[in-house]
Amino acid sequence: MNQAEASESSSEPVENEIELVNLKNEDQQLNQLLIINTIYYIVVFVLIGLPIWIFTTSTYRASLPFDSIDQLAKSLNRIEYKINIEIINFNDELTADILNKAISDLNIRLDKDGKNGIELQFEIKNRVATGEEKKLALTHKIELLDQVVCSDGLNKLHMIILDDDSAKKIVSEDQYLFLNCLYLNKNLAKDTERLSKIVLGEFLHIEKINEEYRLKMDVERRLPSKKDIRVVNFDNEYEVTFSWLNERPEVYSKWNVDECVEKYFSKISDKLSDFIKISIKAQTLLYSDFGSYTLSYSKLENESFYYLRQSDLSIMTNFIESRLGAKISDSSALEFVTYLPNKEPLYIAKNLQNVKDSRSVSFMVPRWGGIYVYNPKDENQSDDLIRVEKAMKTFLTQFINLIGIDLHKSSKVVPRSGIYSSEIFGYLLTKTLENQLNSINTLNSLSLLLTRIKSMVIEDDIAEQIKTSVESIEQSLSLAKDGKIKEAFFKSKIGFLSSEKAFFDKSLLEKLYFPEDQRFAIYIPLFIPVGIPLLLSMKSVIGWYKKQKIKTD
Amino acid sequence: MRLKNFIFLLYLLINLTNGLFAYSFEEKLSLNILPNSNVYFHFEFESKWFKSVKSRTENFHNFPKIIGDLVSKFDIDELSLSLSQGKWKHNQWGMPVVSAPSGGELWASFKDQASQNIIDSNWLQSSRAISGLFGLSINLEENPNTAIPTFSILSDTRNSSNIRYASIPNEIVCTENLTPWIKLLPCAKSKGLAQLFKNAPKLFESHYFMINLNFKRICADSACSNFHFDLRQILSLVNNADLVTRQLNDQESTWSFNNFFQNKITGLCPVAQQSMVILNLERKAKTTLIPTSKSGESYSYNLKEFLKTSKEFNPTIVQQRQVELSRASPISIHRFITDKNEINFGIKTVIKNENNEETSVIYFDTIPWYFRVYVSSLRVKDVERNLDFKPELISFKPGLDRQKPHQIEIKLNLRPRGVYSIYLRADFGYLKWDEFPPDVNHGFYINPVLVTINQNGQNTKIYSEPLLMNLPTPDFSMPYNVICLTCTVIAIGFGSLHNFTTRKFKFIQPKTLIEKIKTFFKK
Repeated sequence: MNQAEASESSSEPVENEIELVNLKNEDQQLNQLLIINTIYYIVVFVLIGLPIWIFTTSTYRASLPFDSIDQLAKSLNRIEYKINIEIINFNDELTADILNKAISDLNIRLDKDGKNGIELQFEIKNRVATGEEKKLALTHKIELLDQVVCSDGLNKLHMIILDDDSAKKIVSEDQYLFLNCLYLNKNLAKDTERLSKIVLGEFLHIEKINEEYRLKMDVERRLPSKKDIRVVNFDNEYEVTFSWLNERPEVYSKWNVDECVEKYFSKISDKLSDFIKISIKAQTLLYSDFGSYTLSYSKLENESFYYLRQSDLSIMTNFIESRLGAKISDSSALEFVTYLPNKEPLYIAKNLQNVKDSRSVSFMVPRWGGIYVYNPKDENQSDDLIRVEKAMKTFLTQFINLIGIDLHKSSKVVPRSGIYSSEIFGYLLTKTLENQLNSINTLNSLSLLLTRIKSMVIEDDIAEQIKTSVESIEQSLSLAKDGKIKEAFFKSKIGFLSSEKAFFDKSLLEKLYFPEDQRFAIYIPLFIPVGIPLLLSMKSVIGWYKKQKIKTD
Repeated sequence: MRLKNFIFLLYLLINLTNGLFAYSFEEKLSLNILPNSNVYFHFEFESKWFKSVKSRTENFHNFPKIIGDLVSKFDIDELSLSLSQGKWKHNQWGMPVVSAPSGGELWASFKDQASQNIIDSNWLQSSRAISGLFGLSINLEENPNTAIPTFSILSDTRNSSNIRYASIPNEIVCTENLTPWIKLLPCAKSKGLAQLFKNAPKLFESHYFMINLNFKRICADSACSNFHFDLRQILSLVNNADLVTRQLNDQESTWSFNNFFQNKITGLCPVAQQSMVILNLERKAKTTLIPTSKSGESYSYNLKEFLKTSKEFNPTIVQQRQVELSRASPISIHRFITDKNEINFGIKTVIKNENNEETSVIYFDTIPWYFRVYVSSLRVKDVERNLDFKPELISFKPGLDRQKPHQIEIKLNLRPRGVYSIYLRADFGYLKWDEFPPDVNHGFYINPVLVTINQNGQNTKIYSEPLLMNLPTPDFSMPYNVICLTCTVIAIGFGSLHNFTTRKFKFIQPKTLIEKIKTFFKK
């Protein structure tokens, strides 16, 4: 026992001695070098290793104008439009007082509850109709008159005001009451309230614009209105295809589609050709092969006919769609199908309780096109040539609805053979706003996505698209503010198309399926064996540093 | 009043001619008897569309709009797509009416453009569109297989630098590819000869099945302001009568159309100007059905007349089993892989002239870039004389990795009954790990050789069989393994180096084991 105690007491001084030597060694140069080595490793690892790893495993991102996009999103709260109105009088000029009153009436009528971010500025000019215009009006060349009036471009909204006497001469005989909605008699011409109502309601579609704005700004994303669902998405080019689905080619072999297109569609497509491209194609298909699909049959006392229930229409459309074939072009497609049924006559029943009175021969498929059932007997068919004038008129109305042109409500003649420039002005206005809102929303979502998801790749050409889009929208907004609606429309078109292109480009998704944590997991075999010794030596460096500090103190 | 009548008549006439010339459609089925109870059906449908200059509307009438759109969008002058299943046995069956390689083949000729790059991009886009249209898996971007043949004559009229050719041997044909093809016919499968395609799976029970689509833009003048579209659709079938009817008669087999197609022709497509069935019986078979016209031993049935008197067209044919070939193949071609080792392998093609006269042929071979071909290894040999043979012309365009395949064209004059071999050696290339297709161990195809025979001014095409070859295939967990392995090596290297350079040495008192334990527990 004693011996053991003795040995323990003897070993303690030895240990102290060893520690002393160790402490001495620590101040030696070799030890300093070791510490410098360690620091060197850490520096290399942090300054070279980590950046290389981050750089090689991160996704490529071209620089984007995030600030401008934020700016645009903020500018949504207040969008300014200037509307130039030119009033063309067939009699006396309106006095400045009336014009001022009209402007203030217009402003009062606008929904100024503070929440509405669309600010419309009005500027009304006033002139007397020229002799040529009067002559055209009196000879009922309404379309020509429209052209003459608008010869200075679509940056202005033109309104023609007639008084009683001239109105009688002009309007009463003409069926295409393009002037009807502008018709104001002498007393009413001063009735500025009515003027403002017509301008806002019939020409500018103010409710639609406000609705559009509300929908786009709405965070909860309510369902769009019925009208919105119907209208096809805006596109630079529309491909309109007229198909004749002929179930009885043995009997009927020809249709006069070329003629009818020329007669009904070319006017409209010419008028719109400055703004959107419309290509028209036609084809004939034989035998629909509806398969198991059966029609309801109704037999009444004096006449019997087949009918389609409304629930059948989608099935029928699907069958027809399968025959129409795939599409090659990238443009939006509108399909108009003339269906010549095997079992005649065939109608579409709108009300099953009273099929006979509610039957019709055509229906419109939202965002797709229209179908017209051609019953040869009803159309007084005698030879093998199918005459599709009636169908074409229906298709024209459907087409106007589908691309989102609002006709003046008071022009009662439907279907129409043409559209007037004031209607195009309204179209441009709504589409400009729609494009601006859509592309700002798209850009904003894109920038949000990019800030949230770090692994999204941005290629250079996508960045270019985004830049173009941002610039065009900025320009479009400022043009609209100056009242140059036509130019603003073109810019908004470019902005919208390139923002969509950028948003839906598949290169954005390239790396999205490679999870972020995998980036670390794969390199764990490198990080652990390299990282742990480095961490431990870092501890020793910190210890050494503390000691040095104590010493110097 | 008279004048009015006259104008009306004139108007009617113009309308009538318009209707007549705007679109035309003809269909034809020819049937040939092959040895061993085999029957060869060859369907041909031809649609023509004349572009109307007057009208702004593009009215395609019954012509498939999709094809019209496709060729207009990509400025295609000529287009050919063929898909086939099974192999045409040249030695047993002779020559087909239209040859096709196993799998798929697509080529197109484009309008002159400012630069060849436009044609290249049009070609890529149109191949993608066609792929989508017919439910194919052509992907010429990831699998660049486009060749520009200089000497092989694919098209008679077009400038060869505007032609793009791709052989797609890995394409498998099925009903899903047939359905869109049938949809291009004006009456689909409701009426006419196409009624026989109603039971599509039945068509694929054949020894050989081929569909082909051939589009041509035919110009009336040199500037091509006036033109018409010509679309020819071909479907070929070789079927064995004994297998279908399950008879075991030594001499003859008796069958009807219904046996093969489980359908009969009952109606006619109203737009068809001609609907013909031609049975080339050639003393090898008999039928009781009276033809509408007859020339020698080929019975023609004009269905327009025929169906006026009878309800359906379903001839019964009694066919002799052992018959002679009527259209023997002018050359035979066979291709195989020889001398394979770990690094490289040889591809040998044997061409035999079956004629008793000298024949000039053009050999056209495209080999994917991942087989690295050496032109120095090219040997053309006269097999019987065992001598090197000097061909009239050799053109070799080396491939580029991930861009284009190797392309070899050889012009040969084959002496009567001569046998020649063309031999090439190729290295295995290495693919990047993400370039491998999903079914790697299936192997990689080497495209079939196309041999064009020029005989009396006429070009006949014969294809060899495609070859399958395995490429060095990694284990696909490899990338992770590689990362792990390299990381481990780095870690070991780094660890020891780090240790050596930063370790501090201290003196310590040597302790016995018990002391060590004690100090451990003291802590």
